[in-house]
Amino acid sequence: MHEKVQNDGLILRVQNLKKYFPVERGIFRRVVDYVRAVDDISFDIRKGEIFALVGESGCGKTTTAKLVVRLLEPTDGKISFYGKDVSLMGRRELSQKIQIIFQDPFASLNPRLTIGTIVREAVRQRWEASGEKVKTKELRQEIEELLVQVGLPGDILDDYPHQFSGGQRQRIGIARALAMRPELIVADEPVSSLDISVQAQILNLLLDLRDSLGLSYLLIAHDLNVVRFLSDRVTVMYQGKIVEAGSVDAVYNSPQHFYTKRLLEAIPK
Amino acid sequence: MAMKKLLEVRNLSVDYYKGEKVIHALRDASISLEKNEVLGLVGESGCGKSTLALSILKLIPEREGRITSGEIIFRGENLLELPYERLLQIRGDRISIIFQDPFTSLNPVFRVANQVAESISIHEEENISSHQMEKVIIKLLEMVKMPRPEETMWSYPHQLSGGMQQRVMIAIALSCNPEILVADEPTTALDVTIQKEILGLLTELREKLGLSILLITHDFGIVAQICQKISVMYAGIIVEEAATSEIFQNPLHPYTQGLLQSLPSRNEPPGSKGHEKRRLKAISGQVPDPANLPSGCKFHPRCPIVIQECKAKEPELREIVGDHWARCIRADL
Repeated sequence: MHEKVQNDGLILRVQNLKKYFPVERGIFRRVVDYVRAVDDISFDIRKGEIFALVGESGCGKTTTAKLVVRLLEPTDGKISFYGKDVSLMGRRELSQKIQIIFQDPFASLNPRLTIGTIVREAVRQRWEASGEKVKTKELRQEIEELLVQVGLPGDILDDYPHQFSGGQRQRIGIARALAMRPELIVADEPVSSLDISVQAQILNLLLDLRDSLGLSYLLIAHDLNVVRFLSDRVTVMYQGKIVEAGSVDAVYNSPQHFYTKRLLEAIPK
Repeated sequence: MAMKKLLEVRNLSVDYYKGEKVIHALRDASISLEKNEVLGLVGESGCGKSTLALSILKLIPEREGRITSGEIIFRGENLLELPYERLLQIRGDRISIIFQDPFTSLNPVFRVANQVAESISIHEEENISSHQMEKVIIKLLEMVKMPRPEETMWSYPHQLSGGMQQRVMIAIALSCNPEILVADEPTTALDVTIQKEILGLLTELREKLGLSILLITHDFGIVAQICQKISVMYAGIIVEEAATSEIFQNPLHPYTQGLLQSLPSRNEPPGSKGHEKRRLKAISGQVPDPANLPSGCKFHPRCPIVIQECKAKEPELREIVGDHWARCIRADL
């Protein structure tokens, strides 16, 4: 089911990506200006890599994440998955390749659905997409396996999100993302709303899943310690543009751009 | 040299009520703040640190929670027994508080100048002319390093960045030159470069004004930067207390040790070759439900060195070595 590996194992290639939001004024809503949220950025992610986008609020990293999973459409530029333009892929095809996990485990789970329903939705979609006939028993088994894989007990299918802690909800969100068996996971601030001890558990989980499932990650984060620990390569964004990029060691140990230096100096301790 | 204790919280217990459930948010918690000291109160969600901060100024609404026992001694008076008018005099004037999200603390329909002025006029006994007030406000905003104070004072909160809003909060909190500033997660909502500026500002103000600061946070990096002393909280009680350097170099309580080991900053991965990353030594399990606490030591279900005795009785906070306290029967040098 995997596409033929092209471009030297480049799972994602972003080329000259732009996202401009129009600013409208007056009763005729005339466009007077643009917010250049993402302003001509390019980067590659290799298979098996954890690639981080860092920057402060408003730098464009979250917008970039949304563009990669097509929650937003770009103003210009191209995003390719193993050489195939994602704008030419159907939504279902894309969702089997790239999935997203969000920062806020409280907001990203439907409070009116049970855990079983939430995860079943995702697993069922995968079955339908691959043309397999839905078999109830196997479906339930797969759901339980997913939950165990993310470190949750398999018997929580009838419970509701509010019954779980932030860390547990984040695990449920990860299980849902994994249900489609994606190859690339976009993790938008996956641990920032979690306590330190829970954060450590989730970071370990993300690394374990990378090793056991051969996943690649696009990590969006503002916590530079988390990024240093988790990532292989990092790209620094500022006001919609890339100001520095390189291996985590290179960027952290010998930052070149003044903004990168400022960011690194600001880390307490 | 005798250290003058400016504020002493003694055996404070606070319960919250949620329908039928009683939540023991704070259980027999004691901390003390010296003059001109920055004390960090560290812990994860639900440990009781914010409850403690709010209790100092009796800011917990009565229908939500109740202080069930304990004393808060400030300048020889127990704040919990003061008549309301006296408490109002102290709030904002002798003890001030700033919160995590300045945008929700500032009134969106009033300009910055009006909000700063309000704080001053409540506590000032003489009438101040509006011309004089303007000058006072500008001076305050200069003190918190607000850019172009003569202009920004006329802004509405939403016109200011997060960092600037927090500076306004600090200005309001310091407008009456209080002795103690309680800061509840003051930089959590801010970008890291702005956080650095705000922390630097607090340190500078502490030196300039002889301020004492009680800083509540979950971020060890912040306490390392500006606190002299740290109290670690877990399940509504203090579990370890020592000078900052001591906590980092020689943590004695298994929870503190576990927390420090969980920090990604203290775990450098061996080179950046993708597939060999070390894992963090995470604490297993989760923080207990405050409505349903385990017996004995509240950390025992997650403790790597738990023994039978730990489940029976909650340990006392004992001084393991000079001024380094831990609530663990197995804590030792």
